[in-house]
Amino acid sequence: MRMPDSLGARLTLALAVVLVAFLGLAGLAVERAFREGVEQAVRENLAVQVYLLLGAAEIDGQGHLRMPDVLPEPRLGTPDSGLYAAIRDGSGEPLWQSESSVGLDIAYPRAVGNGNRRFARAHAGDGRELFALRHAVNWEIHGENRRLVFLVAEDAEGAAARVATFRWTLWGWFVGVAVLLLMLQALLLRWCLRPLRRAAGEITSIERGERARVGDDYPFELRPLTASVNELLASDKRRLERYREALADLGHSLKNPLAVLRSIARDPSAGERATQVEEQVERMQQAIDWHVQRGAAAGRGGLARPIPVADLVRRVGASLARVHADRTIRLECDIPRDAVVRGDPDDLMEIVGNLLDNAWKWGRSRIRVTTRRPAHDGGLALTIEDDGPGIRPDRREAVLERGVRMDENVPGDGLGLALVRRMVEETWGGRLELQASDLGGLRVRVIFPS
Amino acid sequence: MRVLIAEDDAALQTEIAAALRAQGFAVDMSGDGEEALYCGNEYPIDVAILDLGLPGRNGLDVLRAWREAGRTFPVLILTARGRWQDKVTGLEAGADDYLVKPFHIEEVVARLRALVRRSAGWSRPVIEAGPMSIDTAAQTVTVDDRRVVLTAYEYRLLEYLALHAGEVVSKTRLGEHIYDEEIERDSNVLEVLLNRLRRKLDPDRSREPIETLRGRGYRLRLPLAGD
Repeated sequence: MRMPDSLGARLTLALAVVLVAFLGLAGLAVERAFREGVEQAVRENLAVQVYLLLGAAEIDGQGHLRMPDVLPEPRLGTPDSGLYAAIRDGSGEPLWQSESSVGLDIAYPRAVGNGNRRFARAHAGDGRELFALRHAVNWEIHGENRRLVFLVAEDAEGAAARVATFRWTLWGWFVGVAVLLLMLQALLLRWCLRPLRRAAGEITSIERGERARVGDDYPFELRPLTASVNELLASDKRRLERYREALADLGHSLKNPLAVLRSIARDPSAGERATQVEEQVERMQQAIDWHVQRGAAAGRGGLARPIPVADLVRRVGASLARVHADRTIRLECDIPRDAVVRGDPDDLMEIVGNLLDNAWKWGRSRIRVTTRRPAHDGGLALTIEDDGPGIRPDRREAVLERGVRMDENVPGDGLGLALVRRMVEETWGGRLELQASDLGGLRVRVIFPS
Repeated sequence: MRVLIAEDDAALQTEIAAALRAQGFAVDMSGDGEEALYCGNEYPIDVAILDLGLPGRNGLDVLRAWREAGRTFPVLILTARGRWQDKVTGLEAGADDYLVKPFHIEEVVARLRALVRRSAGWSRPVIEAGPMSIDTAAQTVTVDDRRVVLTAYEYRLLEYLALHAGEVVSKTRLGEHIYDEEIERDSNVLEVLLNRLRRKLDPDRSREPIETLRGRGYRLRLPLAGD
């Protein structure tokens, strides 16, 4: 059988089985005890009847048994009353039978062994169930021992009815108690499993980047687990930082020698191969930029915090305005406060920085940054436009390829748009589109999926 | 112009320094954060090149400390990482421009000149003062469209006075911003230099573009463009 894959369901099922088994067995035991008690009462009642008959029986002068016409128990005198009696001699010859049993062929229990007394079930001729008591006595008549057998029977119907009533009451109560306990158990389970549900919820919100770590106030059974999760998160973060630092250090350590090489190559005394050296330096430089910057992109593996886009665009914009203080460019920033992109802030700043920097280089007087939420998914589309020359439609695909510059005369690393596209695609699984802006220049649309 | 180069890579430091000296800058150098902080606070520098990855005290700290101390000279930060986070943080800490390593040395020179001009209130590379026109990018001077050939030190002197046109610039200050080494700052040398410059700019002594204010210093007196 396939086990349910929920702890709650397993516990509910297991506890329900235990509960039902316990109540069922307990019910059976109680019912059995009650039935035995009822039978015991019937037996005692029959024994009383035997003694009454013994008291009423007399032996006349001829040694015959005589029973009074009116017996102390009126039910024996009433036909079909439910209480029957008979007296037989040692060989089984009937000596007397009560008026109530006339016409009923009652199969009284036979003697077993040497016992004088036997209580057993019996049947009437019409199939009725009876409880019967056989009681044998030795009666001394004229110095001679005669054996008389007293037989008393009672309808089992009354006892059965009492047992049935008791059974209904009993099982009624037990079912009620079971339902109540199951409900209580469900509540207790909810309460007991709440820390687990909370942990799952916290881990989900860590995935969504809404929190950095799992709380510390868990029951002690869970604490090793939550502590491990936190440790894992922290070590993951540390590893990512180390990785980034190592890459940055690599870039740093290569860049200074490259800078020196480049300026040596530019020196007029460097000779005719200087151009070749410079070309190679340029290629190395591009390779470093490409791999180091791409490698440093954190990806969404770690914490993906919601980053308010408006703040970030304004920060980068203010910085660029400072750099280009001698130019009068107006940055129109129409981004709602609640527009967020989930991910690594450094990565997003890399994208916004590169795109705004391009816009500043090419734009004449206006840059416009807007965001929109596409209706079909929950993502965000960030649009950066300028009023510069733009890019001809047939060149747009080319500038998105690695290493193609729009113009060698404008400073830039030539990787800008290609790098941004790679980051958008690899880090966010998004898209970058180049279009014509109604401002006259380029419109770059970055789509971050939800 | 007096420039502070705060860069820990010795080879790069030497390269930049050589290029800047060739371009007529007076150069101070430091390869350590603490030292750079001291130089920026104590020396009369006009512009600084600051590597963000300095040992001792990192570039950002140095920059913030300078700004907190009220030092307003423009700062060009150098970053090897090229991450926008670094650039933006640097600019927010008070830098005026950034360059990502490696760079063309011409780029450094051009950016430095632009920064100095901007900080002196000039937005264009050519300073025009009356009949005189100083192209700070090409480092050429014309008077009445006639090219005037100046030595490196003569040009430095003129450029400094032009960027601070209208101000009285003391002899000491002039010396500090033109020469690297203290030993060269002999007032007689400066006076000789000034006289040569005056002769070249104004051979017939009709305009007297550079005033001498006895005991106080010198002033470039020409009407500025637009005046």
